[in-house]
Amino acid sequence: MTQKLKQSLLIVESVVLGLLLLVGPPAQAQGDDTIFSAMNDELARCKTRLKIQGHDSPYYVSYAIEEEQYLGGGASFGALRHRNEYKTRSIKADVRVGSYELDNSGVMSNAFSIGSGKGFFGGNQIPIEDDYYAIRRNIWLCTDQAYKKAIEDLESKKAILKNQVIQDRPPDFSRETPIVHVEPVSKPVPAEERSLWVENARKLSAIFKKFPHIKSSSVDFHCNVSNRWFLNNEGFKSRKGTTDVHLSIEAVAQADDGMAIGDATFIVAPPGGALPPYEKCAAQLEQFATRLSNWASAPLADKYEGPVLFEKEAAAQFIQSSIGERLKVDKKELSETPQFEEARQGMESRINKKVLPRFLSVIDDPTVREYKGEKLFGWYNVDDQGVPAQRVVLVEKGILKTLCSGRSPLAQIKKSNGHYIGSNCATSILLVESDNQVDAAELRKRLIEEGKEEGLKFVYIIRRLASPAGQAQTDLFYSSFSSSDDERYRLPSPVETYQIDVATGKETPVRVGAIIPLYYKDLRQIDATGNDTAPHIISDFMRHTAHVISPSLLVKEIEIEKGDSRVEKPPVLKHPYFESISVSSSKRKQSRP
Amino acid sequence: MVSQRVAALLTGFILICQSAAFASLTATEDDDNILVRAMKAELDRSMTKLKNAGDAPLYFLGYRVVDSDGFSVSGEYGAITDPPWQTRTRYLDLDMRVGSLQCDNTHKLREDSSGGNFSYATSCVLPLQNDEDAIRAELWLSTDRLFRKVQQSYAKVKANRDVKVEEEDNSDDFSLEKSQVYSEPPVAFEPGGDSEIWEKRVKKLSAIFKDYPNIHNSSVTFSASRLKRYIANSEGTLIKDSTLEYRVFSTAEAIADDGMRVFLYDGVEGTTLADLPDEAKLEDMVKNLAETIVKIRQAPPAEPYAGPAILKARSAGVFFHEIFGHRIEGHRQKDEEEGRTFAKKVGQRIMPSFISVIDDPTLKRLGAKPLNGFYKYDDEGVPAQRVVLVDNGTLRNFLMARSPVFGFSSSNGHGRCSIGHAPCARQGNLIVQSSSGVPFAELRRQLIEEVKRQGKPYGLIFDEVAGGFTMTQTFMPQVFKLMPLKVTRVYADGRPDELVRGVDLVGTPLASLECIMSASNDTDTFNGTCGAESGWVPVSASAPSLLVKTIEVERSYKDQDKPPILPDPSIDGLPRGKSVPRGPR
Repeated sequence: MTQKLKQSLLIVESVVLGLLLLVGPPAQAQGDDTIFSAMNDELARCKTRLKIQGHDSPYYVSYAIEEEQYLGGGASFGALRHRNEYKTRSIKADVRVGSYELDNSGVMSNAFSIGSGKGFFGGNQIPIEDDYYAIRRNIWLCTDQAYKKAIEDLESKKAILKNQVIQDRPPDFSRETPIVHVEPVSKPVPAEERSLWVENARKLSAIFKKFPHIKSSSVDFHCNVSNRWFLNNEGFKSRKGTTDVHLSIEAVAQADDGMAIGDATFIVAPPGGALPPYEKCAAQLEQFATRLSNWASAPLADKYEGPVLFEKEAAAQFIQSSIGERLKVDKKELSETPQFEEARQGMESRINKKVLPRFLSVIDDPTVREYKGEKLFGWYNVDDQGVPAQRVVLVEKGILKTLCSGRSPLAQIKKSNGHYIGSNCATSILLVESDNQVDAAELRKRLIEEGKEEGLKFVYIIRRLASPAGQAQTDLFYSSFSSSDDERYRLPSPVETYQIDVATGKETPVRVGAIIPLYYKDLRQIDATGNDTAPHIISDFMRHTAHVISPSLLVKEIEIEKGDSRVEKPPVLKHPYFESISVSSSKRKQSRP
Repeated sequence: MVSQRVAALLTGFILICQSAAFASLTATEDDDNILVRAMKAELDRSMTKLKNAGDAPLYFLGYRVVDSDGFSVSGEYGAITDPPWQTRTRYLDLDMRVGSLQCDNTHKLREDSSGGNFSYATSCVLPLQNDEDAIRAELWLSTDRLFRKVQQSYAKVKANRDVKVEEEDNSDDFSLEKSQVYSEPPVAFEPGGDSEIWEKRVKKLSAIFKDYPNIHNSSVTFSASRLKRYIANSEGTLIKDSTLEYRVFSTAEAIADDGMRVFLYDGVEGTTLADLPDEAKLEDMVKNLAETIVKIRQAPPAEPYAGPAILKARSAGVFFHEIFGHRIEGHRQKDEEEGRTFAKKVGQRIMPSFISVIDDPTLKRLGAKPLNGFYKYDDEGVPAQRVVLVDNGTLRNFLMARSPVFGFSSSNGHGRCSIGHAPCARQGNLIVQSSSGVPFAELRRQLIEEVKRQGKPYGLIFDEVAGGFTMTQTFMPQVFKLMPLKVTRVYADGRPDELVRGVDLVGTPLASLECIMSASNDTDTFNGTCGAESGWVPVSASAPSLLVKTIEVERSYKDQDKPPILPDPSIDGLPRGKSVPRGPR
C-alpha cells in the first residue's frame, strides 16, 4: 500500500478514536450531510403523520443507508479471471408499531411485500449521489412499505399470542440510552493502489505453478470501502466508515488416491494499515501451498479415537467452529404453527450452566484494537443499531454468563451489549483466557501420557484445520457443513496433522479424515492449554474474517475418521501444465548422452 | 423445473437487471489466437486420450467461449443509481457426447425426477487474459468433471430406454453436419469514451420524471455490450465472431387509486451508437412514456372480455412468437412430454391462407429497423438459414438444431443458447407476412364492423406489450399469455376511444390462429430477449397489425397495498424551507 493511503487510513483511525469522546446526548447539528437531512426530514413527517386509521403511528422508526464502494480482482495460475468494481447504496427501514413491550418484530411474516415499496423492480438500491430529493423519496417509499407490513405483522402476532401461552415472554425491544457517534466518511482507496494489488494477486497466483498436487487455485484481492448512516426517532445517530482490504487465497489439493481437500487463507490489512509487502504475501502463499502439498503426499492414517493437541492456529479455529460461532443471540420468529419455528434451542438455554472446563473463560471484545502489539481487526465503535460496542464476558470460569446481544431481549438477556451487525447478533473478537496454562513441552508430555493411559500407540497433534470457505471448494463437499440444525459442533477437516509415537516421541505427518462432530459436553474434555495465547485470523464459511485470541488446547478425546472413505477419483488426464513440464523434463533427460 | 420449461419473450430490461456487477478490465492483450490454440490443444488431447477411457466412447466434444464486455449506467430523478459499470467476463461451455449419433448421453429421459440430462453443458469462468497455461488448466478441469457426468448420464439413458415403451419418434440424438471455419475481425468496443456523456444524459433524462409526482418509480438506463464468441469442436469447426448492442430504455411505474400498480417501458436499441436517436428524441420518448403512464393510471380498470380485437404490429409479433414460434422448435416435436401441437401437421393448413411465416436469422434489418435475432452461425457452429415455416397457411418446416426429428434429419441453423445452457432449436427473426394487407384505418373499420356483427359494445386495440409466455408441455395447460401495456377500447357507437388498465391476453394456440381475420400493411418489429430451456437469446418478431375475431382478456394481477399514506415529499409543504430541486443540478 502506498504511503499516502497508509497515512489517510491512519488519519481516519485517529479521528475515529478522537470522536469516541464526543459520544453523548443527541445533538442534531453534528455531522449533518445530505443523507442525514433526508432521513431527518422524513422521520419528522412520520412521527406526526404516518398513520392508518384504526392503528397506531409507529413508536419506533430507524433508517440505515449503507454505501459500498468495491473493487476486486482475482486470478489463477498467473492469469486474471475477473475484475469487479461497483458502488451501491441501499436502504433499510425498521418501523415498529405497538410498544417496547409488544411490537411487530419477531413474527413469521405473512405479509407479501415487494422490496422497498418501489415496486417489483425497485429493490432497495438508492441513488449513489448526494441528491436530497432522489434519496428522500426512497426513504419515503421504504417507510411506507415497512409501516404497512408492521401493522399486519403486529396484528398476526397478537392473534398468535392469544392462542399460545409463552412462558416469561420478554419485551420485544430494549430501551437504550441514545448516543450520537459520527465518524468521517471513508474515502475510496486510490485507483492506482487497487490496480497494483490486482496485478499483485495475478503474480501471486502464478506461484501455484510450482505445486503439482494442487488441482485448482485462486488469489483474489478485495477492497471494500463502506459507509453506514443510521438515524432513529430516539435520538440515536451514527455514521461509520470502514475500509476492508484483503487478499484471499484458496486452493484444492488432491492426493494420488483421489482424496481432496480445499483450504483458504486470508491476508488482511488491519484497519488503518496496509497489506504486507508483496514478498511477505508471496511467502505466506508458498507456506499455504506447501502445507496443502504436504497434506496430499502424507500417508493416510487410520480411524482414531483419543487425545488431540490443537496447536496455535488450529486451537483458535477449534474455538471458533465449536462454541465461538454460537455465543450470540439467534433470531427467533413466532409462527402460527410452532413446528415451523427453528427447532434448535439456542445457547441461551445453557446460560448459568457449565459449558467449558472451569479454567477457561471466553470474552468478546469489539473495543480491543491490539493484542501484545499486534493490530487486531473485527473491532467497531457502535453496532448497526447505533449501540456502543461493549466488552462482554461470555463464559466465566466455564460457566456461560451471557451472549452477544442486540436490542431484541431474551428472558435471560434484557439489554443490548452492542453486538448487532447486519441483521443478526454476531461475535467480534473472541479472547480465550486460561487458568491452566503449561508450556509447550509440558503440553506435549501430557498428550503422550494420556495416549499411554488409553493404550494407544500414537497420538495426534493438529496444527491447522481447513478454512470452511476453502473446504467448500472441494467437489465432493457436502453442504451440511454450514447447517446448524443439530446440537453438534462440526469442525473443518484437518489439513496439517502429525502422528506422535508415544514410545519414541517421533513426529510423522499424516493425512486424516473428518473430525466427528462434537457434542456440547465434549468441550469439557479440554484438559489444559498452552501458555502461547496469540491472535489468529479466522475465517468462516462466508469468508468473514476476525481475530480469535487463544492458546493451544489439549482435548482428551476426539474421534477422527479415516480419510478415504468416500473420495473422488483423480482426473483421467494429467494437468496439462504439469504434464508438459514432465514431458519436457523427461525429454531433456533422454537427450543427455 | 417448470420455470425452465416455460418459454417467454420479454424485453431486454429484465436481462439487464440481472446482469451482475462485473467491472472493467482495461488493458488486456487482444491476441485471441492464444485462446483458440489452448482450446484446440485441450480438444485434441481430450479426444485422443478420453475416447475410450470410459464405459461409453466419447464421440463429440465442443468448447464454446463467450467473452463479453458490458457497460451500463442508470439513474432515477436526476441522480445516478448505478454508476457507469464496465464489466468483462469470459465463460466456457462444453458440449460432450458419449455413445453414438443414434443414442447418446443427451437422450431425453422419460418420467425421470432427477431433472433430466438435457443440461449437459456446464459453465465455467475462464481467465480473461490470454495465458495458455491458465486457460488450458481450466479447460482440463471442466472437461474432466463433465466426462464423469456424461458417463453417468449415458448409463441412465440406457436403463431408461430399457424400461420404457418405444418412443413415437425414434430419430437420432445428433445430426452430422459439415464442419465450418469462419473468422471475423474483432469489432471495437469503447463505450468508456462516452461514459461521461451518457452519465449526464441519463441524469437529464431521468430528471424528466420529477415533473410527474404521480409516477411512483422510474428509471433510465443506457447499456452497451459486445459478445465475442469462439466455437471449436472435435469435428474441426472453428468460429470466431462478435456482436454489438446498444440500448437506451426507460421504465415508469405508477399506483392507481385502487392500488393497482401500472407499469410501462420504452426503449431503443441498435448495433452501433449511431443507431440510437439524439438527445431531443430521447427526451420525447421519456416524456411520452411519462404522459402515457399517467393516463393509464387514471384509466378505468378493464373487465374480463371476449370479443374482436386488433393486435397492433409489435403486439402481433409477440402473439406469433408465443402461440406459434415456440411450438415449431424442432426438439419439441419428439419430446413425449411436450404438447407437440404441430408435430403431425406438416403439409396441412394451420392458419388463414393469406399468412406466411418465415424465420430468417440472416437478416440484419427489416426496413429501417435493426433485427435482434441476426446471426451468421448458430451456437452449434451451423450456418444460419432462412426457413419458410408456413407457406400461405400451410406448415412446411420446423426450426432445427442438431437434434433430428422425424422427417427432418439435419439442422437449419437454429441451435441457440446463452451462457451456461446447451443449445436447442430457437427462434431468430420471426417474420409474419400477409399477402393481402390493408391500411390500418381500414383494419380499424373492419374491427368496428365485427364488433357490431357480434353485438358487442366495444372491441380492443392492443398497442404495446411487455412480453408474454407460453407453456408447451403436456402436464400443464398449453396456453399462452401476453402482458399488454397499453390497451384501448374502441366503441361501436362512435364514442371516443378509451384507455383501460389491468388486462392480460390469454388463449390457446390452434384456436387463436384460426381466428385471424385480416392484416394491415404496417409491419413493425418487436425486439426482445426470449427465455426458454437453453437460456435467454436475442430475438425479433415482426408482423403486420392483425384483426382477430375473438380475443379473451382476463384481469391481471393487482397489488392490494393502499397508495402511500404520505404524499411525495416534493409536493408535501417542504420542511425546513428546502426547495424542490427541479431539473438536474
